[in-house]
Amino acid sequence: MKKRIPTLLKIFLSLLFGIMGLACTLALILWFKPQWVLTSERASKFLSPLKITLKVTKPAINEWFFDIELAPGCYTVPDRFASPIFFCVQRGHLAFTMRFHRPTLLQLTALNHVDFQITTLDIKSGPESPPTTISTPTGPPAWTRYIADRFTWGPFHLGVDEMRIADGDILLHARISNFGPTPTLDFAADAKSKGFKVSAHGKIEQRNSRIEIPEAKAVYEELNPGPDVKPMHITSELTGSYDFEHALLQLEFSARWKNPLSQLAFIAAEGGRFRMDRTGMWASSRLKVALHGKTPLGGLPLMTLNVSAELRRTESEESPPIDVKLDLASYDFAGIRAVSDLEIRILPKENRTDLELRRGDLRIEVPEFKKTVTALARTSWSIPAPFAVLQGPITFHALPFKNGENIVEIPFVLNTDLKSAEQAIQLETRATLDLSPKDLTPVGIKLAILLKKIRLRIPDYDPIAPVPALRRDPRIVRYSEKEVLIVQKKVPALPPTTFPIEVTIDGPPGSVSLLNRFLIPSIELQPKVKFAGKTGVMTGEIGLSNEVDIEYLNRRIKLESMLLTFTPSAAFSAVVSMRRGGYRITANIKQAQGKTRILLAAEPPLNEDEIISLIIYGMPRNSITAEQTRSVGNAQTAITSEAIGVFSFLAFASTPIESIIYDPATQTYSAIIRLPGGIVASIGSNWETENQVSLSKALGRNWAVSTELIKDSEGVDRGGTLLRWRKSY
Amino acid sequence: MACPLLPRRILYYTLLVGFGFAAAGCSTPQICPEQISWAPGSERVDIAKNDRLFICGDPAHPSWEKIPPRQAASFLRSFLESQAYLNPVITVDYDANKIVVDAGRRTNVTSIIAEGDVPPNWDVDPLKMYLDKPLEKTTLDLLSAKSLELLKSMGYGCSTVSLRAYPDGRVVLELHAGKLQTFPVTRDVNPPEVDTEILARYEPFHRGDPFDIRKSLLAGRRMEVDAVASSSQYLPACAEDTMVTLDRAATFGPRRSWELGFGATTEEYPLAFARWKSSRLWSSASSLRIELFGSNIRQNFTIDLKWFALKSDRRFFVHPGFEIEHKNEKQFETFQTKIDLFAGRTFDTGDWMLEPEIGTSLRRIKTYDFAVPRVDTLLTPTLILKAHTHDYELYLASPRTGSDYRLTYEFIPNYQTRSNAVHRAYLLGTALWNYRDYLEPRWVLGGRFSYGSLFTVDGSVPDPAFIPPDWLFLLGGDRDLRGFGRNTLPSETQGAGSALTFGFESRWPGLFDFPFEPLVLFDFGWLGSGNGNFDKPLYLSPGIGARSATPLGTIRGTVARGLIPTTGFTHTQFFLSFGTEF
Repeated sequence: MKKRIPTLLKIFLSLLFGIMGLACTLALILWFKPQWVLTSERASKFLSPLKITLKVTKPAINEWFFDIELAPGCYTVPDRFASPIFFCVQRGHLAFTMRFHRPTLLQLTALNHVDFQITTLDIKSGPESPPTTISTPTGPPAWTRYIADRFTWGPFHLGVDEMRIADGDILLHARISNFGPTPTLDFAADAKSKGFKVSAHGKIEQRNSRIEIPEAKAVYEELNPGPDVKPMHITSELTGSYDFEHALLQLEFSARWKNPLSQLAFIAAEGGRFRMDRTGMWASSRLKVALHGKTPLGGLPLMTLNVSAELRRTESEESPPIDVKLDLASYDFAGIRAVSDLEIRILPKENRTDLELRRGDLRIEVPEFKKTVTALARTSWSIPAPFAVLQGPITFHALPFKNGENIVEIPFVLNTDLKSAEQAIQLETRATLDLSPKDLTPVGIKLAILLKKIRLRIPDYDPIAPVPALRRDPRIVRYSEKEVLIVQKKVPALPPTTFPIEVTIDGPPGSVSLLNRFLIPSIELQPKVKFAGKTGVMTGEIGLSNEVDIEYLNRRIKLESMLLTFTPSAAFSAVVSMRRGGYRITANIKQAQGKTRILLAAEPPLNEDEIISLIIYGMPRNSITAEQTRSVGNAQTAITSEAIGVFSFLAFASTPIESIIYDPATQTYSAIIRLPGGIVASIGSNWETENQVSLSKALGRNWAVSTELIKDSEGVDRGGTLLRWRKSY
Repeated sequence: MACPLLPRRILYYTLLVGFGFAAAGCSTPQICPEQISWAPGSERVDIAKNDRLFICGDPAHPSWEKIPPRQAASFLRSFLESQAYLNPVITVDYDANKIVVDAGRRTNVTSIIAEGDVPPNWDVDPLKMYLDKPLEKTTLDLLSAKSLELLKSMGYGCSTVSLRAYPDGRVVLELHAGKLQTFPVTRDVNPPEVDTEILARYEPFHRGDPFDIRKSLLAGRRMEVDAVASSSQYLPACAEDTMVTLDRAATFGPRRSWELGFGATTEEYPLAFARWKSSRLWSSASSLRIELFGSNIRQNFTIDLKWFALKSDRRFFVHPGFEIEHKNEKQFETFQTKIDLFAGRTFDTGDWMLEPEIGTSLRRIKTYDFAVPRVDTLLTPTLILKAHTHDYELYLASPRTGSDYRLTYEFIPNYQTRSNAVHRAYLLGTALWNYRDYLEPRWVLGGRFSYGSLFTVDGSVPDPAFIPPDWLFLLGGDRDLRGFGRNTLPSETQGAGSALTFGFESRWPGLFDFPFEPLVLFDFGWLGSGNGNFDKPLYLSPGIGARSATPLGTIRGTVARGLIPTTGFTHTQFFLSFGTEF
C-alpha cells in the first residue's frame, strides 16, 4: 500500500507537468511563431462568411503585427449579435500592432494601416436596443489617456460610397481619412432621407497630449415640408480641444436654426462656449430669436438672451449644484417689454432635483395695450376686432419656484386690465409650469384663469339675413388636408401627450357679458370650466346670471335661465318665457348630442298645438286661419322630430311668422317671416345653417293668391288662379 | 357682370310681375371701397349683409368699426369659399391698409360619387341635375337632403347621408343605407280629433308594405287637401337600424270655413265664387260644401255632401249632391236642376289609387236653342272610374311623372230619349315621363288623350233633339286641340257624337337659371257622328309655348297653329292659362 501512493502521485505529477509543458510549448509557439496557429484559413472559418488573408509577424519580442486583408466581394453578416448587415467591399486592409504590457497583457498600440473602401453598406432594421443613459462626466476617460501616451496612428482611410440605414430610408456617404504625417483624421459624411438632408465635415488632430478639432461643420436641411411651409434649416460650427494632461475639454460652437416654427424666422446660438475640467463644467451662449413679419418700422427686432450655466464640484459626496443665468437685458417691441435677470440653481440630489430661484425676475409687460394695437395694426399680427379698441396694461411675471415632494413648480402670473367705452377684459391668470423632480423635465402646465370682468360686443347681426361664413365649410376637403390625411395613414397614432395642459376658468356671476342690440340689457354669464389637456375632456358649466329680454320686430321673449354643461359631452338647457294672448308660456329647451327637445307649458294650461299657435301667431288656435293652423302643425312636427334647434326656436318665438313648411323627407323646414312694410322674407331650410332668401308680397290677413283646382263643365278639375279670402272657424 | 348672390328668380319676377320692391338689381357689387377692392378682371361677388359686418365693420359700434386687414381678409376668404370661389387670391398690402381680391373661378360640381353602404339599386341619375351647379353650401345641403330623400324613397327608411366635396368639383356621398324597411305600425303624436281609421283612409300604404317616404308624404297631403287635418306629417322612428314606428303628427284646425274668390281659368274668366265648407262633419269626418259660382260661361249653386257612411269601412262614401246651373256656351244655352246620388270607394293598391263611383242623376234641363225652349227631365245612371298613380298625385302641383285616367259612363234609357237608349262614354288620360327621374326635372315628356262617344244599341246616329246638348262633344281649346279656339270644333251649331284627341308635349324645366320652361306641342283630333265612328278631317295643332312657376301660381302660354289638311284651313291660336297643368 505504501508503495502504490507515490506511484499514483508520480503519475499525476507527470501528467500535470506534461500538460503544463504542452501549454508552455503552445504559449511559446504562439509567442514566437503565432503565424503557425493564426492562419488565414482558421481566421476565415472563425469570421465566416468573411474571407480574409491574415499575416502575423513579430517586429519585436513583445510585439505582434497583424496584417489583414479582406477579399473584395459582397458579404452578408447574419444578425447574431446586432442588426443584419450586407456590404460590398472594394478593398479592405487593416494592419495593427499589439504589444505585451502589464497589467493588461495585450494592448493595441498602433493602427498601422487602415484602408477600407466599401461600395454598399446596408444595415437592416434590428431589434431596438435599450436607451443608453449618459452620466455626468467626472473626469477624462481612461482610453483618452491611453491614446495620448502610447498610441500610434498609421495611414487611415475608411470610405463608404453608399450606406443604407433603416431599410433604405436614410442614405449615407462617408469618408474618414488620414494620409498626412501628423495624426489627423478628416471626415466627411452626407445623409439623405425623404424628409431631411444632413452633411457634416471636419478634422480631428492629435497634437502631443491634446486632441483638437480645428474645424467641424454640420448642416441639416428639411426637405418637402409641405405647401406654404418654409423649410427648416440648421447650420452649426464647432471648434475645440481636449488636453489629456489636465483633462480639460474646451469647445466653441455656434448654430443657426432657420424657420423652427411658422412664427419664428430663426433661433441662433452665437459665441457658445463649453469648458470642462476636474473642477466642473461651464457653458454659455447668446441666443438670438427673430420673429417673422414686419412692422411699419421694418422687421421685428431680434430678441437676444444670454444664457449661462455652471457646475462646480464640491468635496462633499452630494451632487454639485448647477447655476443657470438667463439674462435678457431688454426687449422692447410694439409696446411689449420683456426683461429677465433670472439666476436659477439646479440642485441634483439622490432621487430628485430641486430648483431654486436665487434672484432676479422674468417680466413681460404691456404698459399700454393701445400702443401694441397701433404698432401691430398693419402687420399680419394685428389685434382683431373687437379687441383692438381696448386700452390698459398686461403684465406677466415669474414667482419664486416651489419644490414639492412630487413636483417642482415654476409659477407665473398674467394680469390684464383692458377696457374700452363698452368692453372690458379684466382677468388674472395664475400659470404653473410643472417639472419632474427627477430630471426637471416639464410634465405639465396648469392655468387658473379668474375672469374678473369680460364684456364684449356682438355686432348688429340681422337674424333673418344669411348666416355669415365665419369659418370654412368642413365638408370641402382641401388638397393639402388630403395629403396630410394620407401621411397620417402611414404614421402610427401618436401616444397620449405627456405634456398636458390643464386650464381652469372661473368667474363670479355676471363675469362675462355679451352685448347686442337684441339683448336687453345684455347676457351675463358665469363660467366654471375645467379643461384637461391630457384627456382632452372639458368639464364644468357656463350659466346665465341674469334674465335677458330678446326683442326683435316688436316681439319680446325672456331668457330666464340658461346652462351649458360639459360632463364631458356638451349639453345645453334653457328656459324661455313669453306672454302671448293673456297666457304665460314657458319653453324648456334641452339640447344634447345634436338633438333638441322642447317642452312647452302654459299658464293657464293649454295643449301643445295651442301653445305653438300662441307663440307663432299670438292667438289661440280657434282664432287663426286654416293656413296658419297648417303652419302650427308643421312647427309642431318639426319640434317633435327634433329638427328645430335652439336658435330656430328663439327665432320662431321672437319673429312674426307668416307660415312654416316642414319636409319630413329631407327633415328640413322653412319659414316665411312678415317684415314691416308688408314684405315677406322666406327662409329656406332652417335658421341654424341656411341662408337663402326670396321675396314676395303679403296680401294681408285672410287674403291669399293661390292656385286651385276648379271643376269645369265636364266635371274635370282645371287649375285656376284666384285671389281668395278665407275665414275659418 | 356676374351677380351670383342676387337670386335671378327675384329679378325674373321683378320683370315679370313688376314688383318694385324687389328691384334691388344687380349693380356692380362693391365690398368696402376704402379698404377692399376687386382686382382688375375679377368676378365681383355681392357680399351678404351679415358677412359685410365682419369684413367691412359695423359702424354702429366702435369695437367693430374697423376690421384689421388680416382679419377682414380671413373672413372674406371664408365667405368667398362659401360661395364656391375656392381659390381666391387675396393680396393684403399692410402698409397701405388695402386688400385686393381676385375671386378666381367659381367651382362647379363635376361629378357625384356614392361610397359607403350603397344599396345595389342605387342610381345617381336623379341627382345629376346638380352637376355644373356651384360647389357652394346651398348645393351641398341640397345634395345631402335629396340623397336622403332618394334613399328613403327606395325603402331605406333609417338611412343617413354625409358628404364631402373636393376643389375639383367632386362630391362624394357617404351613404349609410342600412336595411330595407317596411311600413311599421302608425302611432299618433297628438291625440287625433277624428277616428284613426278616418286618417288611415288617406294612407296609400298598409302595415308591412315596402317603405317609401313619398307615400307618407302623399297621405299627409291628402288629409290637407280634404281639410280633415290642417297639417299631417309622418316621422319614421328608428332604433338600431329598424323602423319601429311611423309617428303621425296631425293637427286639426277649424272645421268650417267661408271663402270668397275671384280669378280665372283658361276657359272661364272672370270667375267668382262664395263657398261654405265643413270638412269634418259628424264623427265620420264627412264633408259638406255649399257653393255659389259664377263665370262668363256658367253660373251655378251647388250643395255637395261626401258622407263616409260605414263605420266598418271608412273608405266607402255616399255622395249626394244638388245643383242649379245656367250654362251659356257658343253652341247652346241651358238651365239645369240636378240631383245626384252616388256611392263610391277609394282603393290604394300597389302604386295606384282607384276611385270608382256609381249612382244616378236626376236632371231637369231647359235648353234655350229652340223657338220654344225645350225641357227634358232625365234620370241617368252613371259610372265614374278614376285611377291615377301615386306619383302623379304627389306631384299634382307640378306634374312630372305618373299617369291619370278618368272614365265616365252615362246612360239614358230609351223611354226618356223617345228613341233608342243612348250611352255616353268619355275617357281621359294623361301620362308623364320625367327623364332620368331628376328630382328637379330637366325634361318632361307628356302625352294625353281623350275619347268620347255616344252609343246606341242598334248603331243608329243619336238624335240631338232628344239628348242634352252638353252630352255632345266639342273640341278645341287648351284642354285638347290648342291650335283652335275653345269649343270651336265642329263648326256646326251643335257638338259631335264622338271625339278623339291625342296630344304630345315636351317641356324643358331647369333650362334657364330663372323659372322659364319652353315647350313644344302637337295635338291631333278627330270628330264623328257617334258609335265610335270618326270622320275626316283630321285636326292638327303643332305649336310652341312656355311655362313659368311664379309665386302666384303656374302661368302657361302656348301659340299653336290649327290645321285642317283636307280643307287647307289654318288658324293661329294663343292661350294664356293660370294654374293649368298638362
